Amino acid sequence: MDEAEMVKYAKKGDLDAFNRLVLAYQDIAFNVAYRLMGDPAMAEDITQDAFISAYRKLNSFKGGSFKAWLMRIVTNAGYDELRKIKRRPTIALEPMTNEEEEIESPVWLTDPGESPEYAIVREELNSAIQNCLDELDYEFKAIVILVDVQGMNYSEAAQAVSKPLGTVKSRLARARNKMQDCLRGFGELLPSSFRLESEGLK
Amino acid sequence: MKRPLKQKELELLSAYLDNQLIGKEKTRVETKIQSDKVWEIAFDNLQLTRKVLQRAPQIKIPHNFTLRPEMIKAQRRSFNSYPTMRLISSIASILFALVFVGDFVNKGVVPFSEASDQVSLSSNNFIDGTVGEPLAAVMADADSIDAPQEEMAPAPQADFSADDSLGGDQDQVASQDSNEEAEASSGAQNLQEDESTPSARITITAVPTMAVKDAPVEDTEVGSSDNKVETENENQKDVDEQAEINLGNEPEKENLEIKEPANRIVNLTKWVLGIIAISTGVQSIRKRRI
Repeated sequence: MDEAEMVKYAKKGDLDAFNRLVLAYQDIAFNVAYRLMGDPAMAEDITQDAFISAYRKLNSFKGGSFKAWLMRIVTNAGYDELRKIKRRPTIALEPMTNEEEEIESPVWLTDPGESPEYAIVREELNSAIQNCLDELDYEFKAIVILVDVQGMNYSEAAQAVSKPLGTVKSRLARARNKMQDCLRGFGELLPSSFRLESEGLK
Repeated sequence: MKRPLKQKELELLSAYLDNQLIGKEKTRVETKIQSDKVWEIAFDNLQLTRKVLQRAPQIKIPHNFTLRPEMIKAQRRSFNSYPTMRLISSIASILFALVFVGDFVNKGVVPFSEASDQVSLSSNNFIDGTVGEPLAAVMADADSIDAPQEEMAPAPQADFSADDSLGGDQDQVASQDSNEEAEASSGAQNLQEDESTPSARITITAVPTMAVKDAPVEDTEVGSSDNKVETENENQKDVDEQAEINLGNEPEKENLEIKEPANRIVNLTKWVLGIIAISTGVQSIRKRRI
């Protein structure tokens, strides 16, 4: 059964068909939400709500890229949360222990198969990227996440953020420029595989 | 110090990096990168930034996000609320607009509360003897309120016309009466003009017959039967005047007391409808958005 058929059955109320779509897109949906929010718990809530919302609004999907349509729901949910956060006190991005100390390597980032060295590299890169993403305005952030982090094309990204292609190009260029400036500050912390190349950033 | 690229140039470079340029633009950017060191460095940096972002680790999902039937049930309820909210919002908006426009139009013609105030003011002026120019044209309107009072006894002023008719014929009496009607422009007419307003009429119908009963009766016997008719008519008007004087402001105050809650209800309704329209409208917009 291909994607179009799954959507068709899901529109008729077939929950199993919809859940197949969920399984296909839950990784990208969760990662987009995580990069937007910088917090796994919030990303979890946003992702779950987005899938429920998607099922509810499935009849409004008139074809095209289902992935882009789904990412639109995720980013809109993320925007709403980010707006709320602006009105509330900031929340620590790093998880805390019972003694209120930061956990430097959260459980959700660890991979049982990877070496400790690689885990550290991975964490440093992740931390640097997330810190720089968090400095961006959320509309710029969303486009960088969709295009550069998640590898979506311009057209899909434009559909996901409900903006014209020109706006996506312009915002992406600005966001990349800001990310470049920010990542310079993390030159020493970037993984060795990037270190030599990162010299070019200076 | 090398000059930084302009925003437009950065956009071109970024689009070139993603193979979004074609034709002349693409050739132009390629030439710039090859010939201009600033463009070359900027392109390398941009390429590296993108590479770092592409290498951003993918986070493992904490659990599957597949839906269970109970999740959908809860959602279906809220899904159905959208058309309901939209309908309520539309109805409330229309009612709000109608009440608002209706209130505005009423205020434009005769404000509800102000009309009552004007009546009580003119009555007070009449009592004080400070009434200004009368509206004689409205005099005839006062006849319309005579009906319930025709059974009343003649008022004391009836002897005024009857006495005049003692020495003359009926025509004289009639003409004198008419002259007197014209001359009586300051007092009674003013009152009757004020009676042309609806609230004043309500006041008149509530006239107690006490003033009429107090009037002397013997003078009405003077003169012929025709004179009696004339004097009765005169008396009716005079009774109205007297009754109005005796009434003072009390019935109008009662009217005001009745109308004030009515105005409050109208105002309250406006606010309630406005709030419902706005709140349901906002809810509808929020529900509409994916």
